[in-house]
Amino acid sequence: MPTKVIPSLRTLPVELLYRILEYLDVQTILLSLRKVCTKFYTITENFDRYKLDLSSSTKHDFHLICHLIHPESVMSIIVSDGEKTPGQIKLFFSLFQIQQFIRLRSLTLNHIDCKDLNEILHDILHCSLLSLSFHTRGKRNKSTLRLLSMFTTRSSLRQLSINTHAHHVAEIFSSIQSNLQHLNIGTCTYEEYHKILRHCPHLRTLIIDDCWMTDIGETNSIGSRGIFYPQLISLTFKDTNRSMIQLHLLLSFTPSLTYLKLINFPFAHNSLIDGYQWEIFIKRKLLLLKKFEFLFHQQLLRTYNSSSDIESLLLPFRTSFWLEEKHWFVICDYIKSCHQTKFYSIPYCPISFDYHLDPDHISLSTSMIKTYDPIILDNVHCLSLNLTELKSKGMRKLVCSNNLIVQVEQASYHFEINRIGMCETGNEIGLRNFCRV
Amino acid sequence: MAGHKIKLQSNDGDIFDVEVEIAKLSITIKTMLEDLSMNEEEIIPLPNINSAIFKKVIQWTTHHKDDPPLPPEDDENREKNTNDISSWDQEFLKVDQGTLFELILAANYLDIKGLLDVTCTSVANMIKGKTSEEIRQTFNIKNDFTPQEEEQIKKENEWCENK
Repeated sequence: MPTKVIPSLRTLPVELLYRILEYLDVQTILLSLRKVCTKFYTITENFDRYKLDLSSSTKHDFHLICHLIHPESVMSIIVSDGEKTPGQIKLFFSLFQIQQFIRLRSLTLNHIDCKDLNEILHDILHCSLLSLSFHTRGKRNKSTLRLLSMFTTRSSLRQLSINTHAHHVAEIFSSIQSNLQHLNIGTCTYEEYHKILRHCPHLRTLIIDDCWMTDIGETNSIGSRGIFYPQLISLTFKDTNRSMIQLHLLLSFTPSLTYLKLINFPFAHNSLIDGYQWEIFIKRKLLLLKKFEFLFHQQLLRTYNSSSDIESLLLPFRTSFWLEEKHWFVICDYIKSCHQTKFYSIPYCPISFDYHLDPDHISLSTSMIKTYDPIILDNVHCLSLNLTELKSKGMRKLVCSNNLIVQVEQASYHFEINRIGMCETGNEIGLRNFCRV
Repeated sequence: MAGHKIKLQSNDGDIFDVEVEIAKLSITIKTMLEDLSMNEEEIIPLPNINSAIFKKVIQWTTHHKDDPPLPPEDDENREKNTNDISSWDQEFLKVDQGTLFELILAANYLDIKGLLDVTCTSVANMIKGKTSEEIRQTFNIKNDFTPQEEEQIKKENEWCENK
């Protein structure tokens, strides 16, 4: 009678091991897994869907990975000239020619100098990229914008992410229609907002910092009434300073939205916290909206001392529309020392969270979920703590799930964590998967 | 039709009554029902899955029956994010390694993409950031490189020391 073999990582079929490799970073695959046993050595040699993210590699690892990797097995590349990896992009392209990466579908160039970008854009013009992303330093010239314009009209490109400034977008989207489906840009003007949506009939997702509306006049405001861009289903404003009326105008052009995310500028004086107005607008103009994530900062002119004051601000978010029909729940954090409230949908939508230790802090929710429940910070990857403030207010230590305890000694420190487990005021903060930067 | 059930038999003989809509999350079973026109009284054998693992599979598919469809498999642009495990799935996957790998094999055989994704992600998270020796210890793997091969790998590392 044959004995039953208990499956293990080593006995998994090769195609399943390849699948697991797709979830791993190139460092773990080439610097660790490859050296475990002969089977894994062969598998990592033959794997052809590498995601080459070198943006946080040490110089040693960078050279080793570049030595071991086969360009024809790379699907995506992320290189960066950030503070920790200066000169990395030039070095990478001195070791490889982009044409060697015959399976390349995604290229990300972070903190690249505009002059370097120009050269690289020339070289990658003939690659069949599906996704291109870069964050530039320095001033972009006409030639860069012209090359970008050619890129947006490339039939293969589906996803573009660039840090544009207002008045540059018009030049990028000046030619024929593009096949872009996902676009992530910085700021744009009102005219440029329309131009993007006119020139991208297949655009599904648009993420922008803000849309300046200084170029909106009586004429083009009236002229844009009745214009709709039904292709767009997901829209994000990452750092907007628009008023409620301006946002309503912009949003009225995209009636097919199923997802909307709004984060306003922390010191904005425009109030966006009126739940009644949002309810009326969504019922009239965004009938298909399924998910509405937001963080509305609100500077306050007066001081609130009791929960009932804050409760009155939260009241418009307690209607049956918010709670029963949409199941959209809201938390209001009042930070007395900053004279500021933060209204946010649950879970908190930005990836970073500023932690304030304010003894007079008031936090109320329209949900039954407790305001310190881990689920609220489910999307948060980065937590900023002012340890000077914490120390002065009696914080003695940070307790983490791996039992790492960090005594607060430095005057000022910055921590980054993968996932937050629990935050609570008091003498300790409990954190899960803590790592120090 | 909601509530309509079919009979599925594990390789150790147990028969499970499973709602058709839940069973059809498995593309393998869906294909059997639709292409092979199997009638509802027939018992569908699942020769590669034992009853303990099949119970787990039913538990997962029942919980995820209303999930939106996943992006197509050939979508090369689809990001694979190792943080994408819901808290329910994290609890569900608190099992021994043997069970976890049997779930991967079952998800692959039954062609349940969501379960395959989450189980593979879970294994990747167990590997991520570990040294070669730590991976060997975690998964009980023997180092089978010859001394010559070890020397070759060592040279690879030394190659860039002077860079």
